[in-house]
Amino acid sequence: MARQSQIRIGREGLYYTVVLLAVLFGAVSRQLNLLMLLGSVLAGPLLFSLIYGRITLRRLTVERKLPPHLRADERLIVDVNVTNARRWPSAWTIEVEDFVEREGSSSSPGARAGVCVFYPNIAGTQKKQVSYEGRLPQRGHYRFGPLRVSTRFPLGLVRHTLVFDQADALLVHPKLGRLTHDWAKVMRENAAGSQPMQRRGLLEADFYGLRDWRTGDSRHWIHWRTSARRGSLVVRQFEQRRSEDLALLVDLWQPSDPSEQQVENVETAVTFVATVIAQACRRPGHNLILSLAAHELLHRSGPASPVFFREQMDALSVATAHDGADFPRVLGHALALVPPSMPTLIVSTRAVDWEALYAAAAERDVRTAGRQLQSVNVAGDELVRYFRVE
Amino acid sequence: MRAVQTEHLLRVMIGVLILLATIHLGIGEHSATLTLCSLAMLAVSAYVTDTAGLFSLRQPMANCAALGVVLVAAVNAYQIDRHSQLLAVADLQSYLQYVLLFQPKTPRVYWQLAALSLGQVAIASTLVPGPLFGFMLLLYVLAGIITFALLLLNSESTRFQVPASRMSGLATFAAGGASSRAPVLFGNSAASDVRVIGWGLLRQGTLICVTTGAVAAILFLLLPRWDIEKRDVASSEPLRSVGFSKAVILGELGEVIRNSDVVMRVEFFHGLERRPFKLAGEPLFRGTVVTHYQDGAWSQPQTNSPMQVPTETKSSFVRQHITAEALDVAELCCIFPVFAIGSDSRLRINARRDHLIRQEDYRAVKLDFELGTTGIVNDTQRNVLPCETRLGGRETSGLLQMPTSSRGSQSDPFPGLRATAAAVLLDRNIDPQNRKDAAMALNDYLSRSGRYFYSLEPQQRDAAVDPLEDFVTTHRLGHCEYFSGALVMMLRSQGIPARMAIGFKGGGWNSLGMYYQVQQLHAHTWVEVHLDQHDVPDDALGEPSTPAGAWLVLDPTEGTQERNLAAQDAGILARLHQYVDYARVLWTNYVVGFNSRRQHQAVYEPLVEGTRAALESVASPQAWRARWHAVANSHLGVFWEWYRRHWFSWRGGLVAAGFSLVIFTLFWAARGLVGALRRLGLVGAGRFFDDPPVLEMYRRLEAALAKRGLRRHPGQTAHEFAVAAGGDLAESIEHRRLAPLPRRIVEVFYRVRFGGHTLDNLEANAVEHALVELEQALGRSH
Repeated sequence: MARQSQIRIGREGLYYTVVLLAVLFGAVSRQLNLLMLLGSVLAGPLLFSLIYGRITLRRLTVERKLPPHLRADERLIVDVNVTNARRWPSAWTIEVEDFVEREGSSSSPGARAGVCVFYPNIAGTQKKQVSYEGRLPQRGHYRFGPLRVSTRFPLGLVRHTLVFDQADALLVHPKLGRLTHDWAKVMRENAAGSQPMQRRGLLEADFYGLRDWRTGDSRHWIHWRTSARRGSLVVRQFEQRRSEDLALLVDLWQPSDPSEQQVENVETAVTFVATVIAQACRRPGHNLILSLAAHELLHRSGPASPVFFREQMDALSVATAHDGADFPRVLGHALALVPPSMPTLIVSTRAVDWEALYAAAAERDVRTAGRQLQSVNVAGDELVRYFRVE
Repeated sequence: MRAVQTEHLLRVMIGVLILLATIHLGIGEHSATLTLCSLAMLAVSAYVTDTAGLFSLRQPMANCAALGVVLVAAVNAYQIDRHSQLLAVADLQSYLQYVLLFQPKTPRVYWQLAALSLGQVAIASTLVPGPLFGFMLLLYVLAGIITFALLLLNSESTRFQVPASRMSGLATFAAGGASSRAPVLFGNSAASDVRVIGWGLLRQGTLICVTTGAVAAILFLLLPRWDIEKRDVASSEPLRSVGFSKAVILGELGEVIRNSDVVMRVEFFHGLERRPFKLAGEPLFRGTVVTHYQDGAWSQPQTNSPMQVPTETKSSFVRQHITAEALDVAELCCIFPVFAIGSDSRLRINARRDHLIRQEDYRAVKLDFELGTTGIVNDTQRNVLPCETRLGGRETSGLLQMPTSSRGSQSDPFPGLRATAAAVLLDRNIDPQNRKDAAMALNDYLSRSGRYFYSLEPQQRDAAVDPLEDFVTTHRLGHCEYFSGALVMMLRSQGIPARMAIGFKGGGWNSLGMYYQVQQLHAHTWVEVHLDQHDVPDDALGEPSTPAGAWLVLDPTEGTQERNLAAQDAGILARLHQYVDYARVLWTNYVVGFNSRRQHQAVYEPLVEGTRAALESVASPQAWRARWHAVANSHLGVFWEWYRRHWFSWRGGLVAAGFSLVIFTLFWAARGLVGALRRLGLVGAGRFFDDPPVLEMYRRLEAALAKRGLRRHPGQTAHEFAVAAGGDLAESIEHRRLAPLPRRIVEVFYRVRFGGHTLDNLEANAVEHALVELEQALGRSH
């Protein structure tokens, strides 16, 4: 870990030095021994300050502990540990300053903030932990560091600083909102509407287990092998399959010179998509497809799971809007990867250009007729029916 | 809460600081009023303003009060002398402190209070005499350092206190109330025990104080000095001499016994050596001699014009270093005979060279001078001194002068004294022509016969007869003037020329500073008997006797030796007194009176000599041979003896301190220069003090992998290690994605380290990201 030391005389130190020089000048010019003595005595603490801080800081080690995960606007607590490797003397008035910076982009400029923690006294060979807290309001990639350890002990005249190039990074996930009952209702309707018109039978439900035969049970449910083995009728149990598969086609657009609202729309869209994925991943077993038209294109599909959720959150954390004027053809192309029966939700920060979408789908020979395509324009009013940010 | 406790401690320390400063001033003013006032104000303000909050001065009121105080002080300072003006300024500082004490306490107020107290100490430095100022200054520095450290601690802790608004701010932000997209962060402070802080700061303050003392001492000694014209002349009121005087009037001595004012301090050195020594027996410091006696009064009727002390070259002599206090008499006391070692225009000696005086301009000042003397041999003062000039007839008759009677019909005022002297010599069968034996017999009679007793108490005398006649014949109780006067008269009555010497005897030997401290109470008179050349014993002078003869020194006072030895009994108080006096001497010589001459003698000369000696010693093969021989033959006893004698040496200490200072300065200068050159890009980055970044990069990789227990074997290359580590990572589901990273990093490391490749920003960022990813992932799993 590279360390760089700095020394700076503060305002008080400057005043003190001026007074000291005045006393010494007066004493020497008038040859007043007692005043010389006073000046010499005043010089001692200044010299001590110039050396002592450096000696103290040299054997200090500092360590930062970040939380493993964080969502935007969640409470952040970072522990800063300082260890005094010296047996003697104690380290006094140690101040550790950390810097947190969000990596920006052309559309979303970075933001930097500093924070200090204070250790009045760290005894020899002792380790002390102090935390700083706060909130990171934006998703994205944050860099922590460098750590500046400084002290002004003993008199506050001179500030010694040791800079530890100790960098850490934290990926802050999008914050999550709350989906409304209307959203649940729409999803149920979608699920019902997407059931294929086929014979209801064994294939329409998932095998759940075996149980004893009861009056009224269908003969088709009898599991003959088990019944033969047990000597009594045993039937198969089935769980009704209700498809919650979902394809999310997201158009993160904002103009090259966005307004505050348009920037906010992008964030809202990301938050909404993240919330939908989070809810879907709470119950594993169904498939999700995420196709993101952003500054960098993204297409992911897979069964809902915590791992899938984490991966999509990581992706959404750093997703930045594109500024293409045309509706992205890639979303139309993505329809080729979406099974026809899978409900598809198109989330956009502008009105969906259906013609462009269909045209793009047609380029890949995708038939859009009969598909359950729904759209949400974040810039419009309909989102408030389905979603709230808390 | 911690900050509040620290602030209580801070208030106490600020109070201590103010009190110490006012005590400084009080000592200078010889008054405790200011100290008591400050104490009262501190107590009242602590309760009224700081604790109960009943009253506090707001800023406008405080400004008005301060203005009023300044006006009052300005009026007081008008039309008074400089000393009083200084005191008025010091008082003004106290009044301003009182105004500040009743204000709400902020760091600014604390700073102002401390600064005002510092100003008071600065003024006190011009008022407080003696080493007491140094001691108080030391206390003040200790208190000041702790106070400022507490002030720093308090102000820093206050910054990190969690206000209620802060947490509500977080809540507001969470609710979307904050419009800023910047991170919102708040720092905290570690908890600390106020007792730990208090004791810790005391220890730390003591350390700083010791360091400050050392730095201050070195800086003070090295600050440039030059002689200012009137510097030595400015002095306080001279002491009134009560023991020593140019003339002696019998019966007037009385207060001497109680007067312990220091008259002078004397150190003796062999030749030009620097180590003082103690005389065997008590030294007699002669100031003047008197020859004429009439009606109980001794005087010196002959005056001759003083001349410069002659410079002589002697093969063997003793150097006497005398620091004489300012006295109201011109005479200076020392051991005779004297000669000047160097030219000293401040001193004069009379033509007979038995009487040393100071020049007119230096009568009322403390005088520091050195003279050579041959009056000490083998650490013992001679009792036979050479007579510097041949005595003329008038002088001889002066030494034989007997008073004429002024009391009634008797023509001889000393019939009893004359008869006693004759009887003593007759009794011992000594011919008065044998001056030496006769003088010693009469001296022995007075001091050892048991008939005469020493007393400083005023005695009843017969007014009808001469006091000396009365002392010898009737009231045989008296002090040194009676004894020596009686001896002189007894000698003269037998035709032996004699005179009375006036000066000081003994003085307190300070074993710490190795000097004699002579006080008024050491004033003494004794007798000097003139011996013709043929009367002088062969070995008495240590050199061929001069035609002028010699002086035999006799002290007839009964029991003075035993009494003085008893007075020097080393009790605890006497020992303490020695320490105090030595501190006073050091303070006077090396602080208040530290001038260019002393600086040269005490600092530069030893430094130069020590350095030269050290270099010669290091470079000399003989010295190394001798050292080797000494080491080869050494044993513990020899070492201990050497250590006991030489455990400390001012010269060695100064050389060591100076050498360390030079080395330290050179090191820091070199380090600063290299740093500056590095910053300017004139030398390679971090070549001397830091590892190159590429090495640091590889170390980080090793450190990260070590968290997973992966360590490079000594026989492994970095690349082999990276491949092996990658394989290990690939076996773990959690870390599979990290598997290629070690190899990539090492490849970059190889390219830079061994291929001379330079990383561009993109590559550097890629490596940094890879390292961070490794460190985070492996750190977490660890």
